[in-house]
Amino acid sequence: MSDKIEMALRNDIAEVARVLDAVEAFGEAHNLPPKKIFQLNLALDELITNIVSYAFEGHAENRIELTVELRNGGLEAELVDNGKPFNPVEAELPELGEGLDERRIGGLGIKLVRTYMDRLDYRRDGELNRLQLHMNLNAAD
Amino acid sequence: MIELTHEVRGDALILRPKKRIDSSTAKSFEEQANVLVDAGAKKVVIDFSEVDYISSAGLRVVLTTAKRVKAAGGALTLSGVTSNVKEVFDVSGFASIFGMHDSVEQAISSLNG
Repeated sequence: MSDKIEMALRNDIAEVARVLDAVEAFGEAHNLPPKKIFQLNLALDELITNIVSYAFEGHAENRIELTVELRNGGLEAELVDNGKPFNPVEAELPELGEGLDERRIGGLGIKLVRTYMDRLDYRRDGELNRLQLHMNLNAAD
Repeated sequence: MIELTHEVRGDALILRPKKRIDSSTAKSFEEQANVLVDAGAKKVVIDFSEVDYISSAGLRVVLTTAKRVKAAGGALTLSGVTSNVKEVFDVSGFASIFGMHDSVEQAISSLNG
């Protein structure tokens, strides 16, 4: 397998499964730590789910692209979409609530992304959201 | 579609989803779980021993299923949550809400208590 995944994604939640399969295969081919692959997959799942769910309301020309590559001893991914501007790095997270009845899910996906990624860089590039995800591979875990 | 099996043991319903509960499988998990829970289960255990992946969409289904069981006068708890999946529950603060047990037997006893 090459050192890079490049995928164009349809605006469809079913695409998440295709991405998870591709990243798992990439991780196995390059002998990457399964825990890191799990964490990258979780982040991509949450972010692609957000894009498919919210980015394209009333928007016909949908574009979502993903690249994943090994670079400088780390895992680097980039998600590009032409949906409405959304910066997950700075988005405010709602209170999650405590007990079963108060518990909320909104914002939890972004919290997981921020927890598991070592660095996130967002920029609005014309009509595009560009989000870069960085994971170190030399950490002890 | 998620692969989900279930077992009725005494008055307890045990749900056993498999592999991944991600954004693309969470909805089918929710639909199947609802049908089983609505059949009248008051004690529900979701056994995670064959689940190796969960996203926030999966956590949402666990939460809504627990609320559904509670609204019907029952209770839900979890068993067999390990490794990466356990870490997601911990980061989310969900571990304390549902209770986590090593085995299905322990989970059922906790609901009897």
